[in-house]
Amino acid sequence: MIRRANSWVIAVAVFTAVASIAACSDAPQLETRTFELMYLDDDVASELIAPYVYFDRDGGNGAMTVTEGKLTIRETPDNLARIEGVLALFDEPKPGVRLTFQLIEADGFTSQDPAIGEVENALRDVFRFEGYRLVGEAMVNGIEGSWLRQDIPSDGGVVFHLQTGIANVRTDSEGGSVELQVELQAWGDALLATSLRVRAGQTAVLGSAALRTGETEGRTLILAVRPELTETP
Amino acid sequence: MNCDRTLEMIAVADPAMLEGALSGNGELAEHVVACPACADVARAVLAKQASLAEQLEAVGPSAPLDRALQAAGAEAERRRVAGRGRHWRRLAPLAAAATVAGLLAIRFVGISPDGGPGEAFDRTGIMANALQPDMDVTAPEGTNVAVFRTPNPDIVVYWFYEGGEAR
Repeated sequence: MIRRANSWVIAVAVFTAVASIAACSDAPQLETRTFELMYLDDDVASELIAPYVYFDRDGGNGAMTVTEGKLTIRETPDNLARIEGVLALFDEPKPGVRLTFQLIEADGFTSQDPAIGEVENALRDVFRFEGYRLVGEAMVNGIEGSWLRQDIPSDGGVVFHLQTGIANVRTDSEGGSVELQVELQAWGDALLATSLRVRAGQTAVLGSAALRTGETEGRTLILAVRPELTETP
Repeated sequence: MNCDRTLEMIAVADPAMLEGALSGNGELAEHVVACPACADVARAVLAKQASLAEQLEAVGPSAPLDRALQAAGAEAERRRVAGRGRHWRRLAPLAAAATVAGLLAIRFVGISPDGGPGEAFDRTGIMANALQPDMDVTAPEGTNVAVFRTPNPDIVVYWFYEGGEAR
């Protein structure tokens, strides 16, 4: 009887030991690393990396904290390597932005202006104005967060004041896009004010900036803007 | 299909698709028929598209676009006052879902070949289009915005005009 009880005790002990060893071997090996964020904001990095962290893994949860440009992660070595790869891919400086503006007046012009050929062809397919002429052009360069001012003098002596904010620059596999705030002023009035996102290389044609002052009353102004992404200055 | 997905699809649907949904046909129909809120939005968008198409036709082929749009806006305003803004409240979820502050977006296809005066536009492509990718524009307060895709894929026209019910 005693011998049988001893056998049970030994069996239970062996089973417990084997189960413990098995459990130990299933528990993931976790390491902790801290990555320095060079360009990404803390919240952007956090949202980008969180899906790679197993916060509810059996036998060893992953963990992540981010503060003041330092992203600390507790994960398996292979997962840390993946995270390092993701950060290497996306923690990059945002490109600069070159903005090309063309201020165009519509109606009453019969000759075609080669300087606005592409835009004019597109406008002729949409609008019924008799013709278009280039009033003035401007090119500005900036980076995300820039607020740029540029004057555009016209033949008639009027100076148009262009203010542009580069609110956000987004890069992607198709060339990226830029969120702009654009305001065109003359005679102390805002003729046109809007915010919009434009794909890099695409031209946004904004109209109309109605002219209601003096001899320009009733004429129509159109502002074309084309952003291009450039190497970071 | 849930309300969010349905509203996204309504925002980019053409009139035929919306009419189909409201009459029980097509991909949207299953949800729209069972959901009064989404059905209201579909009806409102369809009415808006019809109103705009009607106004553009009425103004005539050689009239400046801004006059046509103003006429459409005036008609929308008249309806808005008459309906005490019900339409806009119905569209509020749609607007909230979109990143576009302007209500109207229009696409013309099959444009007249030479674009000259007197040639008629083909307006069969008029559509509410608030959720097109990368179409993210804010109209100044008190104005609406119409978005025109041109035959040149690299040129998009954003036309701001006063009036209408999207305020």
